[in-house]
Amino acid sequence: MSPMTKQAMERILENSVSRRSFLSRLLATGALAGLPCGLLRPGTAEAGQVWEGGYQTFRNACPRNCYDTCSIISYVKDGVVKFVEGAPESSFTRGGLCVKGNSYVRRVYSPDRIKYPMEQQGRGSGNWKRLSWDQAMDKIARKILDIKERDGSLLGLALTKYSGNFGITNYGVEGMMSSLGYTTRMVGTPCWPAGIDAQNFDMGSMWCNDPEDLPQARYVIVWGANPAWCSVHSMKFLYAAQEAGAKMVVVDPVFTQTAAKADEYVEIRAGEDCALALGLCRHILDRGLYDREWVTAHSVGFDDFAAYLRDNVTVEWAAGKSGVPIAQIKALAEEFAQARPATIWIGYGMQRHVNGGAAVRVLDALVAMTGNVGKPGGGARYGHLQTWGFNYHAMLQKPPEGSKGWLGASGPKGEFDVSGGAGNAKYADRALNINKTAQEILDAKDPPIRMLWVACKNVLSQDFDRPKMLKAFDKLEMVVAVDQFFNQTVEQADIVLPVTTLFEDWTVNASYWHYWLSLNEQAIKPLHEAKSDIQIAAALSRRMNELAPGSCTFATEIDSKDWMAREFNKDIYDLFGLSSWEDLRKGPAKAKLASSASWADGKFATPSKKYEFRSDLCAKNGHDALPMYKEGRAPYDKLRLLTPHHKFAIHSQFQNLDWMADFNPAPFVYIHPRAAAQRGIADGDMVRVFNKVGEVRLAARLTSDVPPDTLLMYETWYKGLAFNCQNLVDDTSADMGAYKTGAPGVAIHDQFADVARA
Amino acid sequence: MDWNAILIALRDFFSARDGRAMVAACAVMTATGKTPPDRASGLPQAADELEYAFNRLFVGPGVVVAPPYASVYLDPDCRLMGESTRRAAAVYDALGLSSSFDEELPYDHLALELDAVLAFRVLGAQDQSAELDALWHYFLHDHLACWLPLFTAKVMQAPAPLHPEISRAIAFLSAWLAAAIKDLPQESLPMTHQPGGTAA
Amino acid sequence: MKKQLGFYVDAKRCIGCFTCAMACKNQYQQEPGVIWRQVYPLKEEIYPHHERAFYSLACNHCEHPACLEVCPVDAYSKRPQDGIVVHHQEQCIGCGNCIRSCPYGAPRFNPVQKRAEKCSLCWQRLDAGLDPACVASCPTNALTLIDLATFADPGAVQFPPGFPKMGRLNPSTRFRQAELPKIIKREDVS
Repeated sequence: MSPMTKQAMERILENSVSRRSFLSRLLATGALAGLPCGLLRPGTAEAGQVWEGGYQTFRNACPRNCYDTCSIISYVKDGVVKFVEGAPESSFTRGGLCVKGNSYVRRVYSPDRIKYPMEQQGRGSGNWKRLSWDQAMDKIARKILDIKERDGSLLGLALTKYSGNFGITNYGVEGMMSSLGYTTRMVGTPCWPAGIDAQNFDMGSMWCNDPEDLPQARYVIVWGANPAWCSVHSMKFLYAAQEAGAKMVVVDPVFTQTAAKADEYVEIRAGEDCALALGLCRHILDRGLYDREWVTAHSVGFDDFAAYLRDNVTVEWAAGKSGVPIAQIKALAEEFAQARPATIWIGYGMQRHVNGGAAVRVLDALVAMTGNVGKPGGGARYGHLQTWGFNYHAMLQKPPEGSKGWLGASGPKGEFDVSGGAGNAKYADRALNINKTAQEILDAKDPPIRMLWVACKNVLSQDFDRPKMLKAFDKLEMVVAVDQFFNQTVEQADIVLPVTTLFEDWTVNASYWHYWLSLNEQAIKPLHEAKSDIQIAAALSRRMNELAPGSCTFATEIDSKDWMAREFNKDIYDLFGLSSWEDLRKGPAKAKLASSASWADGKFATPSKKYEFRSDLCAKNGHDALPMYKEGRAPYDKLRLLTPHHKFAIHSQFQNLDWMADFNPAPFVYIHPRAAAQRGIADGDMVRVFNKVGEVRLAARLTSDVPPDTLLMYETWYKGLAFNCQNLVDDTSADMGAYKTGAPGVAIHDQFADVARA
Repeated sequence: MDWNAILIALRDFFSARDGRAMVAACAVMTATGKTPPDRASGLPQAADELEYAFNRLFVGPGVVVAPPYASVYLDPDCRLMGESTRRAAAVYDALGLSSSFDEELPYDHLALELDAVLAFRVLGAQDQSAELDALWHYFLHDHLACWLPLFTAKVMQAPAPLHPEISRAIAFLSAWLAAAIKDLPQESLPMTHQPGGTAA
Repeated sequence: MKKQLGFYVDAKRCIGCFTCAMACKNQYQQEPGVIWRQVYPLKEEIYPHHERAFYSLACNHCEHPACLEVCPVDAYSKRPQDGIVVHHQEQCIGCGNCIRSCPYGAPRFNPVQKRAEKCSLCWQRLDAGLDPACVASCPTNALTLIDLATFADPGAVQFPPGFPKMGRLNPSTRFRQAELPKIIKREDVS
């Protein structure tokens, strides 16, 4: 036989029949019997293992805690995801993804993925040993039993988990903790809690219109949100409104990409949203442009609010506070009040202030007094949980018999807590504020926090006051991080466990913005030794029960698909018009809405069943009963520092991928040319940004996109760079959040710093 | 030189899960290759040091210096589970072999490929087969020889000084490849080969 | 006029989100560093705000492509049925003539393949009745496919500021320019 070309051999290898018959004469002699192979075995690969045939498609859902929660179709060829597309069935995403979603294949097959359970010999040393899953679970289980032995409870075991993977079965992480006993939970949310409380006080719940009805709006104010970066699929609905004649106004301290697409951009002094909104309300009141009929029929306390406005607010005062000129406040008020319907998109950024909840209440009031609540195309749009009525089967687990825990009251453990608190149980979990994780770990006593489980979260990239967090880590006896990439938390972990990507296990995903529901199928086998959060819980339960029978109530064997199916119930099926979850294999489904508008029937969920301009519940929770001005945070340094999200990342996810680095290789701090000139900083200079918390070094970009008193940098994790904006952000609380989420929010955008050439 | 023993040791080295297994594989290489043992290898912490260094280069959990997968070097998109992975699996399949690891260990992981090399060598010694020769020629010249030099070069570019045992393993790997490509009578191979030198 | 496909880049709608550029990578799984479609921010002389207006550009599928003219081995062809300029990588010798000649930077050097490559306008997808990956992915409909034989938007421009004016090549891309909102600046700091 003459030597074959590479191409000829690859043609033979391509086809299983030609491939398997190629050496048949040789192999028929039983030649394989005596091979010294240690890893390969005689035998034929299973179908699908050796890549043949066309594409299979699977339904996936982006689980990244994003407005858009895109429904994905993954194209799989012989066990490998080749590329992804948006699901065309969704009228919200219309077959699209975003820049991040289009990078998913890179994420699954990145050589940088964490592949195995590993243990670090000395935190931060970089000296890692591989563990088998059995070894890892054994070490963890023994530590948990040791804590129970020493303290008589598991309150020394703390969980910090948020939305890095927002799948419904990922709440099995909370379930795993409950199944071990009463533990310590970092409760609350860094995201949106002040606004959630505000909307609950005003309307009885957070419930936004369907964003697909935005084209019906005749006037849209996007206030402190940047959908051009953070909800790209909403932009077409805003454009449609504009094309139908609506005016789009963006109110923001920064000239964002969304601002560039507006008809009008109003630059506002950060943290003075409350003042500007009150000025608008006062002018509308003065001009008699409020909807007298609506407020009379559907609200309580409007007269009190009107009296407050007349006695305490003037347009001149609002202008002085917010920096927005008087004439523009008046014009904006008159235009907004006279357009029907008019709507405000209330961003999460604008409530990340010490007065953020107060500001959301005033914005709600502005929308309500103009009669725009309950109207298609109108509404105070913030978010909703209408489509989240799952069983939370994975989350709701019982503690083992005889577990001891925290004595005393227990509130909600976050916005998705459906457990109803501790009920009649004698004991509860110990609830600590997720937004002060570092301080809470440092302060916790009787027992101290001995062990921290980190899942769906990157503590050292997202939590506040990073220098303090490093000190808090020093107090911990064991840190377990469950992750996909070697981020800054994994760097400081004792044990890391590799977790699956969305393509590697089953779950189901809903959105808090649009009304679509997406199935997430397992499209490929988990790569390396990755396991999903619930499979990790089952593995831990197995070992716990081997070492101490009855010490963990979590199932020891789990069929992930079955657990996904168990999250569904009749209400979900009815809401989405499904006969079974299997229907979602044909594509995402949209909730059957009586109206695109929330509160369309005018029946609110407040104690009075009306819109409450005066909320006694709000007063009972320690705030003003009326939507009132609340002073912002006093500056603690020369310039305000804003650290919002970047378009190339969601928190510390995606930017680390090399495809992303092709488009966005390095971070910058954005400085107004005037502020830069005062400090002798030129465009591109390396600078130091510093404040009482810490310091960050990076390059400067000069731009009038930011005002002269403001520094801007994006909260992102770059592979291989030490850059971390949490070295400049302290853990000061926002005003609201404790009522519905268990802990107040955090004043991420009430931070201050100075800058100098490095 | 007993290349089969060296290849088994290299396979065991690159598939080792802990320092003890790495040290054991290195001992085989030392004995078989008649190279002097690393002076530190007798110390109690030696296995740990080797394991840490090995994991930094090949395993993680951090960004690894030299991922030991063919597709990282051969596929245009530097990823895992690529076309080269598929081809490696097809070669095993043609040999009547399969991996029991599935996705847990991508098919073009160095250890699996070395295992396949062993199969080729033993099958070739048992029986004359033009088809086997052709398949071996493909696997060696169009696959292994295309990525192993790039892989060893990456190892040699590692920022920290290379652990002597890893350096030795890489030298053996390069020497074996050079010998196989030149198809020299393998007993007469000089052991003075420097790792990374085959990158051309 | 003969059918000539091209991209319509609507900078008024474009939000610079890079979805198109990443969708291209997703479709072709290009290695890191290889970029067929890039999203270029406009200089502040053209749009007075840093990184707030963009042109998403790939190959312009010119009527008289410079790449095709300078290629010594006929690795480029222009499809008669739709004017797509196709690069045949298997014929490419990696000489770099096309890369040096294209004023729009469309052909790029692939350091692994040691050959040039560029946007194919997803001709395989088009032949299968699909939109190009970038066009299909655009969340704001800012990037669309046009046929110059029938395209008749009087507001469209061929050479907007910032896009090299190469009349002889007659690039097939058309543009709508970005607009500015009315801007109300803070009084307390201005």
